[in-house]
Amino acid sequence: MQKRVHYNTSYLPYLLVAPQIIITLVFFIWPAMQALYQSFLLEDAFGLSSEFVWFDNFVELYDNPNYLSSFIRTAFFSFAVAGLSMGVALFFAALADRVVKGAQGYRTLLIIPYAVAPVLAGTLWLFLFNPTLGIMTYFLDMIGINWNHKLDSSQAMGLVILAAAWKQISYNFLFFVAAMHSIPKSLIEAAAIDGAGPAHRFRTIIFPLISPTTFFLLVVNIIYAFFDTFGIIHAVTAGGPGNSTEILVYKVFNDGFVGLDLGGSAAQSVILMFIVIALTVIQFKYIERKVEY
Amino acid sequence: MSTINMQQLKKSYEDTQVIHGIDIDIVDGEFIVLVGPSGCGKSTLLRMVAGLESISDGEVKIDDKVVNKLEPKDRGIAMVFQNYALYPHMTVYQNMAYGLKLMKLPKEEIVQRVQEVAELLQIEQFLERRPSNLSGGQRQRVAMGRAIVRKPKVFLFDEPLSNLDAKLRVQMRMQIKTLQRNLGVTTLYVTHDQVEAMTMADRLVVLKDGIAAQIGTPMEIYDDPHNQFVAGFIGSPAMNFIDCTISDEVIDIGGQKMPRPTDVTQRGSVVLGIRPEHFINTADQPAIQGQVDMIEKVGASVFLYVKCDHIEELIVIQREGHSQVQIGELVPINPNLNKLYFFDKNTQQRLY
Amino acid sequence: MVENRPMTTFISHSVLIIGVALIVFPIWIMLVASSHDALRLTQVPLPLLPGDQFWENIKLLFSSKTFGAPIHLSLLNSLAMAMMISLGKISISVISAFAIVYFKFRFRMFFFWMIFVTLMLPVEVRILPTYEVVASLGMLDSYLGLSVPLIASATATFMFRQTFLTISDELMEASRIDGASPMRFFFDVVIPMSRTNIAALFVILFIYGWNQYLWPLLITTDPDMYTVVMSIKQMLESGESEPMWHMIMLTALFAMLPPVLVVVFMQKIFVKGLTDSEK
Repeated sequence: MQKRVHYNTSYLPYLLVAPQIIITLVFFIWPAMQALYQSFLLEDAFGLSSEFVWFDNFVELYDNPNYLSSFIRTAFFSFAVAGLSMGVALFFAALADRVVKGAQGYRTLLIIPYAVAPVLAGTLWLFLFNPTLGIMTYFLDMIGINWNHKLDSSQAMGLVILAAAWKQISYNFLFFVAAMHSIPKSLIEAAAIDGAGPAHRFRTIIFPLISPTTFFLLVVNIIYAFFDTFGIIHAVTAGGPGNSTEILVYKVFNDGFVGLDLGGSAAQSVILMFIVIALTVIQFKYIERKVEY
Repeated sequence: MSTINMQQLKKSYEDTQVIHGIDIDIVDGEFIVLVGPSGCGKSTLLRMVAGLESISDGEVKIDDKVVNKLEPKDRGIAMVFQNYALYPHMTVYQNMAYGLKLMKLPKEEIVQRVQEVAELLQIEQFLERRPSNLSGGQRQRVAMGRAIVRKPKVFLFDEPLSNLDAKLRVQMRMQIKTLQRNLGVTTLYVTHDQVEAMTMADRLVVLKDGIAAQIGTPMEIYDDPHNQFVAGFIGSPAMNFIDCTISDEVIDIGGQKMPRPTDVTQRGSVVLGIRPEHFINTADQPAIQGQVDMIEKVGASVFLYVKCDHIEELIVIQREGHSQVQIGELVPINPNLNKLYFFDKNTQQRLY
Repeated sequence: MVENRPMTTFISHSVLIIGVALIVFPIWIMLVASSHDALRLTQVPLPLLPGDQFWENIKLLFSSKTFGAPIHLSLLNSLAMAMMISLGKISISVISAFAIVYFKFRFRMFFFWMIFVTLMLPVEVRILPTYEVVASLGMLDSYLGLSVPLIASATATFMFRQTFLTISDELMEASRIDGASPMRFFFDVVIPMSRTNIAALFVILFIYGWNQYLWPLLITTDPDMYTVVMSIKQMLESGESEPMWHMIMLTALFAMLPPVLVVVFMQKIFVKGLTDSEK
């Protein structure tokens, strides 16, 4: 936690933490409190007066089929993104672990999507799958699939999942490679001497040993899918068609800034906050446990 | 020309007191070794003199000036740490010059001082290297160089040799001692190694549980330990301690009897202490016998671990190197009756 | 490699090459599209190979104002925002971590937990009230408004704390004996010893800052304050007509170039920093 030895000066440490603390107070704690407070308020249509309504906003959300379906949609979206990007990344990492030459080159190329802004990633995939022009649309048409994510809600969902997963592959790949790299070579060699082939080794040794990383990545990917995919959805579908790709974060933005339902939006923020807190706690539990290994 | 005086020096962390009032007066140019088992407070004491630990009670004076509240840099000290504490991102030169720079010495003087000390320690050729490119012994010398270059009134060493291998340690021991004598700087040196302590010290301070168990020259402490702890701590292998009862005629050790030296006046149940090297290898006198349980050959001498009836511990006896004693053999146990020590069973203080 | 099987190695390479090609495909198509003229990009099927209009398009992009804000201005805005966020985050985190690790003071743990809490409050979650705070401070449409609310970071503080804990205690003591004040020690020893971490963090944070989208979208209304990442979206919504894809893709190229270059060229440091700090 801290050094065994430390300085004893009276004011300096306060000066040092001050910038961080002030910014935290002004732009984090205070707005979070505001969100909490507003979630208990009901404003009239003109924003002139407001009434303290306790948990009405939450009850309303609970009764709102729209919100519930957005919740389920977000869960589906998150697990799909996590599953797809982690699966692909694991596959690449397992292969990259096998090759000696060129690993660096593959890594350099695979790293690129990490640096691409979500909204740009969305734009690229939108262009590929543009219903009239897109090159992928053209290929799909050749094999008899009619692609139009502007009308077909499951295609829309598929496209945002694809774009979101694409961006996250780099991150997962790097972690899987690092995890595989940290497995002692002697362990793999011992298994090879015991006659286990590459596929068998992967299943019985490598995969179990990287399971802490896998779990860590699962949490990180879910957090990513929850909060960092706003730009992708904004660019690709803007939540449509209908509400079919409106995930929770997008809905907070939509209801608050477009729909101007402050209380409802704030209540949604508060729920999101609790989700982040839960995920963060899980993540830290994991890190704690990992320390013991 | 520096003296150090510690008066009733105490240190507590919250509720636990770790240093219980230590008095030491160190004269100019003296080499004082603080020795004791781990947790005895020797490092804490050193760090209190350095100013790295606050002083709970009592006084530290350097040159008759109380330094309790002074920052380390204002005490005129220099310290060599166990892990050397060299700045890894600086070259050897920069490491040595850093303190001088902070003293705002002129550039030429810094260069000159570092150069001199580097020559003295034969590290001139490393001046532009980083610590990570040096061997353990070289790093050790750089750490010393950094201390010397400050021209301190007092050197403080905190187990500086414990990270070196055995051979290098013996070498450096001599080098440090010679260097200190030539420079004439008053020195406090912490170690847990009693051989190091004996060979280097002008005077030893044997610490136990935050108390100075004894202060004296190495030979004083060896010949005349004040209590059982000091007697057992100094000397290798350690002194044998045997429970015995002294009556008017004999010393009774578990039913076996030894003549009582006439000048031993104590009577009753005490602890007898005999150093392994204080046994006589003759069968002349009526003696206790024991069976050799284990033999340790170190070349110049042989240590016999002997099992005697009614005595729990094995008794260690030193013989000359080519002794042909075998395991299982019966050997006489003939202590030199002029070299017996007696300790009180309860207070562990020396009785005779 | 444990055993030598040329065949599996060959297959591994082949699969990797195909896989990497698929991953890079969207970016390739972006490059291709940015090198054709508007007309070619209305004809199905779209080209798979680069055309010869790249320089023409660049000239057009930099000379024209019809695509939202002038591109050089929005690039500059993005750079300013990314630098302010990354350097700001690093500075305030490194000093607060220094205080928490190296000093004993009242409320130390309280401050620590307060910083920890920010980890649980991503900007997306408290977007509306944060917007109100920034608005009431008059920081809309300014670099400060773009960057300052994003620069408090528990992650960076934790990372620096972790790094500092690995610096041996004796160095701090040695520096005290050498006569260095806490701040001297900070600048002369702690910072130089953490420079790899600072560099790695810079890469991560530069990308984070450059790629901000939702926040600048809310904070800026003045086109002169738009960031390049934002302007893409403006171009997509170019009214009734089909978007100008060659210009969009060219802008996208410029928008992703700085972070991609940073990550590719500082790859080693970045990978180490990323996987060491675990987010």
